[in-house]
Amino acid sequence: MVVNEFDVVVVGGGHAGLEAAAVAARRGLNVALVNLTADSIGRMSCNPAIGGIGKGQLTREIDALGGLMGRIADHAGIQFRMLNTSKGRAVQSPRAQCDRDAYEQYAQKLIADIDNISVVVGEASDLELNDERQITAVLLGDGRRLQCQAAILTTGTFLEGVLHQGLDSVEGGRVDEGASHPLGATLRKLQVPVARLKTGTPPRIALDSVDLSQCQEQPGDEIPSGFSFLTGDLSERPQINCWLTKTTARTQEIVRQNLDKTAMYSGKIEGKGPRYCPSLEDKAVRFADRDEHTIFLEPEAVGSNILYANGISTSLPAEVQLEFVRTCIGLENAEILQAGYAVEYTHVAPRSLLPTLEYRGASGLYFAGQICGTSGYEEAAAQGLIAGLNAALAIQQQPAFVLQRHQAYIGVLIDDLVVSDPSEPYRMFTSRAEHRLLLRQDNADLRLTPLAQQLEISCELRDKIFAQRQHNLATARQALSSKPYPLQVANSGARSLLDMCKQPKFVGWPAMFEMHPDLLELDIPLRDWQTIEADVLYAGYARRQQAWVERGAEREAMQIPADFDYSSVQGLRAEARLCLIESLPTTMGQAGRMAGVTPADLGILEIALVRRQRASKNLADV
Amino acid sequence: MIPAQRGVLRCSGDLLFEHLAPWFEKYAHGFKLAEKRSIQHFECDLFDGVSIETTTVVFCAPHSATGENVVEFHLPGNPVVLQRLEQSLAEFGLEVAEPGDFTRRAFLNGRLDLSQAEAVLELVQSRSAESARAASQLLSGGLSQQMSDVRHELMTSLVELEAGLDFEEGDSQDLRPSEVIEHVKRAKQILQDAAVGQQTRALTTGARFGCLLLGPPNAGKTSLFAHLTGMPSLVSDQAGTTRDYRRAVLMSSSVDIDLIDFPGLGGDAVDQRDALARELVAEFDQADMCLLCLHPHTKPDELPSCFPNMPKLVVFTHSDLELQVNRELNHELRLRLGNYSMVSLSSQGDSAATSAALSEAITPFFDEAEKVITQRIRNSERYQQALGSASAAVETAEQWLEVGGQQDLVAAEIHHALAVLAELVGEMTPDDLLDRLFSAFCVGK
Repeated sequence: MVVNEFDVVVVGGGHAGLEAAAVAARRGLNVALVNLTADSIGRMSCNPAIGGIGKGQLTREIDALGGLMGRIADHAGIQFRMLNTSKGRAVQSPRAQCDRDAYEQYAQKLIADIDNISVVVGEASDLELNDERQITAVLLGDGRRLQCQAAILTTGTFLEGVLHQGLDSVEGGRVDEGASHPLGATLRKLQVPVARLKTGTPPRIALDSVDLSQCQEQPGDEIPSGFSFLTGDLSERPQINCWLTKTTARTQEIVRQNLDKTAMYSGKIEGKGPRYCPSLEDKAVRFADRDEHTIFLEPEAVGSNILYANGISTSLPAEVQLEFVRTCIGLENAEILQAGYAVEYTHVAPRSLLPTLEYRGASGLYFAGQICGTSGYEEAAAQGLIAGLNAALAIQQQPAFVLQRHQAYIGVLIDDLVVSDPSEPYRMFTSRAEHRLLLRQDNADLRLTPLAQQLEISCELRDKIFAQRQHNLATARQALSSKPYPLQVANSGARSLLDMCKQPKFVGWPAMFEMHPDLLELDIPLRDWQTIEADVLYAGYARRQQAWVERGAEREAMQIPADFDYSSVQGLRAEARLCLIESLPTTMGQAGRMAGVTPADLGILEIALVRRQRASKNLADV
Repeated sequence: MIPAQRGVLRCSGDLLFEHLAPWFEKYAHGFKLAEKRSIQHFECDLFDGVSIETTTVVFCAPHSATGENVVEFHLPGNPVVLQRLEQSLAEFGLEVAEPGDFTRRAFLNGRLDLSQAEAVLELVQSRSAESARAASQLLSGGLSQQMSDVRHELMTSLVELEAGLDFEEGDSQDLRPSEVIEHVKRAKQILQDAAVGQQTRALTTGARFGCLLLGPPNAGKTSLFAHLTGMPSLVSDQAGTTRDYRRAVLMSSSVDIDLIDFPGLGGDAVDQRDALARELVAEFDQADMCLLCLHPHTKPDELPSCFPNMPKLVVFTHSDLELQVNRELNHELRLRLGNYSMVSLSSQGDSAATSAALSEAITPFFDEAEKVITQRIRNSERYQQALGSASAAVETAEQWLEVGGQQDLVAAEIHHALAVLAELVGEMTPDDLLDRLFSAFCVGK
């Protein structure tokens, strides 16, 4: 007899679902991972790449907290590039092209290797709650009942998904895969606020039909660097090239002539698309004066004939796609293997969620990933990790885990999300992180792995590697501090070789090692030296930001109870009151970041909160 | 900070002693402050080589007004000395208090009881309104334009920089990083000009209380002006004798007051083409109170059609001519002015009695003036601090741009400059930034 009793049921085996299931299992709980099919777990729906600016930092953080994404991407990576190398260490971001098939296979293997995760193939159709609005089970379409204490919904674009191509639309969450409907009705029944968003994909083009001699080659880094702190040397990994090419004035013309044949512009799609990833139709309309746009041709695997044409996402009819593709440089004889399409889907309003990603209106019900109005594998995975971890902590009656904005991009992501009402899918940018100089990709482990250890979601290998890293950093720092600053380089106040890193034009490590060969004998990897260099360079800025963080820390962390009655606060301006009632911030910090709430309003709110605390304390004393 | 016998500057904070220790090291010849409740005397060296006798009074947490550690500095009551003290403390991380800050801290540290909380609420609101008014006065004229220009330059450079940081090379052909340095250089220049202008302004007009003298022709404004300032002037029975506008400084009990005698015209008769008239309008907008001088025979339609939004005192001259102000005029005044105070003066008879009546009527206004000026000086100091620290940040940004390869630090400096200017020009959120970015550039795959 099959026992369908679990602690946690995760609905959806995408990037959010994987992390949620893995971390809850890591905490020792019994987890069911429900997916429509077994072989689509871990699938890359859109572009075959992980990381990029802002997203690379997220992936490193997920890894530092024991997540899976970094390891899978390193395993499946076929081209590694560090972006922004000429713009400063704080904004450098790793990115990798991945082998689409290798990615999902390895994801499925990692899940299969975890004993206490059961993969359940089926469609979640309803949720069961008790009288206290506490989740008790997830019901499947075939009648099975999966008993649980927490359910995490990570349905991505599948919830009431509709695919659009030209004026045709079909139900579905991804090409050739059906949508999921019954849960939408469940959410409405539970009065979870929902809305629609859309996103798009570009056509896939046959590599052997492209004239690569007219395209610009984009190779991977000579010294590839991966995402996971557990990954060793990648320099032996064979890497593929990507290619850059351009659209032409003729491309724009064709797109504009056919706007009436797209769902988006004929007014058929209600959901709003992202501005940071505009469809070619958007580019042609909003930036009509540009007659060329870059296209990134990205192979989907080593030896694959499929090229992902990043930059020309479109929902024009297939025949129009072929027509405009052939006006692009080098694509004159191109064949389309699979046409681009737009997908429109239902998401929940993220401001109905707590910073643990638990729904405010039912205990044990969590949401993570694209269903929360975000875009991107990395944003989804980060939320999956946080939702899975908090679901486990709640079941185990441990305090919730919420990252602050100055601790991690993950903290910024969730803090932004739970007070927002997204008008486009939310994507991470480094400019969203006001403490971005502290949140480097290279120090994600130093920031977060100690927390993972406390939460018991690290592993033996990670602990060992982290201890070695800390040892290396201390040794290297000691070695640099003990050597005098070279006299021939003028710099007042510099005392040791360590101060060399502060130089606006740092000579670089090869030159340092040449001057001091004994540093090489310490056998410390280059990345550790680079971490020290960045630490020293940004130290002054880190102090300024730290001071800022500390100054506001007390007020920032001040909790606003969920049942707080804003209408009872005297002196609060009507506009501020309206904003606060709409978004229900959980801390003063969140309240302060809302447009329409002034410092004077915060002062008044703070006083009212302290009053309330004192009043309830007095009551308790009696 | 009104000229007075002694000036007191109060500092409060949990880590106050840690912050003050290096200050004493630098400015008080290493004098060691005893960290217990006590009165201590020492000499501080705020102006190279000139020793200033200073007394400190220490209150240790929680036995102080705010519940935190408090140190009071007592110095000679010269604004220049106090301002210099404030600057020197700012070097060690102390900041000018926000409106209502001391009271707020006192409440949060349990030094005020709950019954006083209502008063605190009101205080926070009214102080921020007062401060907003003082700020808008400081910002009127040139500074406001400069702030809007500098903000524009900084935001334009930031949008360009952030687009470069958040999108891959090759992602967009719209970005022109070479223009960033031009915007930064212009911002630096404007900030420097603004700092100089602000300093001059603080010394000349910032500490004064502006009082307009208005009224229809021949109502006796010039006589009143002469009476208040003791300055002789040409007076005649011919309407419109005052051809030019005149100003004089009136030293009341404790406040410098700028008394501006307007030509005999109402506020609506200003011809915008006339340079003098434009100057008049500026004075009109920046004044703090208005003395409306009326003749008992003034007809309602002779009243200026608009009045600035500020406290008003109506002075009836020649009140010996008629015992009662006509009802019609009274009604019209209430309609036009809202709340106002009133005094009647006789043009003949006992001049001492006239002076006494005028002085009694005007004193409450001058008491109010003291508060307004204090707030304004406080703001002016904050602005100078903000301008200085924004300038420094922009200069560092420029240096990093010249070195290259460190756009993250350039952006950090510009963000910092915008943040310290935020109280002058308003905050910019990451969403604003992204909105500008997406509307300016075609970015993204």
